[in-house]
Amino acid sequence: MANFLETPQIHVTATKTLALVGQPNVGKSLIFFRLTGHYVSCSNYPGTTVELYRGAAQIRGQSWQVLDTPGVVDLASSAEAEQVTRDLVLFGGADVVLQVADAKNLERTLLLFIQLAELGVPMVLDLNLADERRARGLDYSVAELSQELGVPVVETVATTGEGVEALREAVLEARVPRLKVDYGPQLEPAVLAMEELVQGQARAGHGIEIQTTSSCHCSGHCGGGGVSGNGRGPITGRGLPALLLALSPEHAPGLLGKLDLSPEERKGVQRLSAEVRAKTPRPSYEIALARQKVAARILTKNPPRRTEDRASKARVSGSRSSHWGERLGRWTVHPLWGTLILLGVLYGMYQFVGNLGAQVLVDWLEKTVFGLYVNPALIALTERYLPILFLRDLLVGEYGVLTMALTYSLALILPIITTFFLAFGFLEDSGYFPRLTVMAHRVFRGMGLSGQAVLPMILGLGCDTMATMTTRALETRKERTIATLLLALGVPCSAQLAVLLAMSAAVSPWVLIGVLGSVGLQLIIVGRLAAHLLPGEAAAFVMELPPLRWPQWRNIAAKTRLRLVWYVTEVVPLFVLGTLVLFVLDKIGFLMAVKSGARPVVEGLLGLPAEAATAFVMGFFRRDYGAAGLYQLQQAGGLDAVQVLVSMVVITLFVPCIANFLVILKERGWRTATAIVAFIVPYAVLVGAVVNALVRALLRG
Amino acid sequence: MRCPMCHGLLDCTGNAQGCQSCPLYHLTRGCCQQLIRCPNCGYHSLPGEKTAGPQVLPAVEPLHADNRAVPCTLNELAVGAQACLVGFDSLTERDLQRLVAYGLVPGARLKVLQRVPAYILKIHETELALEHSLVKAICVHPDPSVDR
Repeated sequence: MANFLETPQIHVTATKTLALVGQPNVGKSLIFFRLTGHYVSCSNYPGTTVELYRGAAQIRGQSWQVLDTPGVVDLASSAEAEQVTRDLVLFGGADVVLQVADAKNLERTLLLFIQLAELGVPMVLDLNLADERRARGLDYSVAELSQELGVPVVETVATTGEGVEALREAVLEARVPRLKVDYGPQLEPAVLAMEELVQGQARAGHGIEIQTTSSCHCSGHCGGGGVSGNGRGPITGRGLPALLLALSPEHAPGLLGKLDLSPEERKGVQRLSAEVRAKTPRPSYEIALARQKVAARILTKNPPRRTEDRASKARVSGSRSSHWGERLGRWTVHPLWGTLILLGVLYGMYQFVGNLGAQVLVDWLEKTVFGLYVNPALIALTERYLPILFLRDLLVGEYGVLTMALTYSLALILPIITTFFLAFGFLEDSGYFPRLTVMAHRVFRGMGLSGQAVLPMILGLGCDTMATMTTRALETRKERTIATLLLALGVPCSAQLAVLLAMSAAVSPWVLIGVLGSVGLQLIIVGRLAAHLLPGEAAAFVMELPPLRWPQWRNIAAKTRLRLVWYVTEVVPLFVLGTLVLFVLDKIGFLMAVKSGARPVVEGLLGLPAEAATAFVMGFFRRDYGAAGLYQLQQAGGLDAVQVLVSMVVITLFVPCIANFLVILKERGWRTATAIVAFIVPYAVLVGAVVNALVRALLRG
Repeated sequence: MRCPMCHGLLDCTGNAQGCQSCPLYHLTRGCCQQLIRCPNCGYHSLPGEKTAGPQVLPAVEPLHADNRAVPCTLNELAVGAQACLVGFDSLTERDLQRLVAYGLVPGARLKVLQRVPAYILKIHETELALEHSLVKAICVHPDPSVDR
């Protein structure tokens, strides 16, 4: 499977591997870009770089493979993105770990540094965002810190490139840090005993396969702590035992399984973990406290000082905008101003995406470019050169791969998602998303989701297929499943939304209110039920709010380009596949059979004319086709107001389009995909029947 | 839980500074799991022991002069208040781990930036939005030297 926002294929002939590790929002991806020259996603929204990015860098004539990892707060975290980083550091065979950190947040930086340092890997510490540190008047000695930690420490400003050259040089000077954490009388004996057991555990192996070939040519530059050069050195540190003890009993076996241990050694580790848990109920907390003491000790020796008062702070370049960003940032989470800003942002996005993208550009592309030129030309060409009727139908027929799939994915969806990605990139880089998440959290809690699900849900109003893919960024499997279900159930995509708006406008605004009310209610009911019934726990909501920053247009353009490449390579084939399935089903007469089979349900339970069945079946293949079918029915006078309401509720709740289904299949597996469809079809009919019965009873009453 | 004697907040994880200052803490590790010593008044109580007499709830204004010395939970603090973290009340290990990773450890200094619609606090140079269930489980000592 291709990476989300995958970089162009880079042919790496690297001899050594550099892994970038750091907390979210510290500019890690931008540092990656500065080091490699190949741009990947860089954002303020935690979890964007869910997958792994690679690039190549030349440092003093040496070839390095550079890996960018998902932002990590704690290596022992159970969040899946952080597990990727943990596995990469442990098994990725990195020769050097470069920790990218927030220069103004030294304590948190050290908490992660200590965890990495204990693994015994050569490290470099990059204190990025040095401009923000200066703007806040914070000062400390980088040289003393470097001395204390025993590794090169470099300050950088990734946005301007300041310090990046020094950072490159520092990579060659990487050292294994000199730090030792004393875990106290309860844990220390277990850590020591476990260290014996896992000693010599090969660092590369079962986790992630990263090709690093020949040996080191750096003539000893990298070897301060004994780097083996081929990235296959053993984990010598105490970090691994500490990690095994800190991991929850559900997650520890996963890591243990990846280690190359004999059954006896494995049993020994398990016994030690159980003993520790019997003595201390929360070993991870004890371990974190022990690390925190070390961090506090380092900070006491080299304490960050406030050097400037507010007046002189204003003179520091860039601090004016930083101060402005702070104030605006506060407003964005204010109960009143925050809501107004949120509404303004949503309105602006609607104008840009819904109006410019979905109306103006789609009209021009679909009607003019494809309708007048591309499709007639394709049809003429095939008619001339392709004598076989079956093949001609396959390519340019009613459900033709060229006429239907390409028109749909390129003329209809592409302009919508291009404008969406531009707007998305702007909000992402500005640091607004975490704030949006905070504002939305309460509403989403009611649906069994955390505020982080606001992104997929908004994206779903553009295209559910796309939105389902972005549910990857959610923290737990449970939340991902609920978000996928709710997207498939009740979030109408832009194509469908436009038809629904047009239909309700022709009848009465009450119909629209009725539809939104019933669908919204279903989202809440189903979300809550799913939250109760699905196994697993929801993560408690903790969200870091980075300062607002003015986005750089070049970054947004580059990111949009990468995302569009991803769309064309990963989503367009799904549309083509969906169309092929539709073509086959039509040819074998399946479509007609379903239409006639569904007739009793549609006429009897829902009180709709038989033609509506066709619209619902079509809705599976192209959601807007289904909605458009109903629209035509209404235009022809075939539906009264109640029927409009019922049909709109049913088609909104009804199964997602086939492309969305394929994405659910790909992301969540066939069990979940089948379960979702098996639930939605009868549920949509049931809700439609209830609405039909209720409204008719009310009207009669 | 609260101390049955003085109604001060108790840290049930046994990791609060108050508990560690208790001479029994190091002598009888097991005992501390069963007996909780109030860091405020020194009274030993059993977990779940009922408060004697009518329970005195903390004042609505947590920074009121009379209450300054009494630890409280973070959700009792007003906007602008500063406090020192002393411990955690019942939290899952996973939640605890996440909070600690953000630097929320006993001894950390916090400032309340906002309470509605989300609880936002500042720790060092980081602004964190937290769910109310977490905020209620964070025990703090209001900083008497800071006026709102």
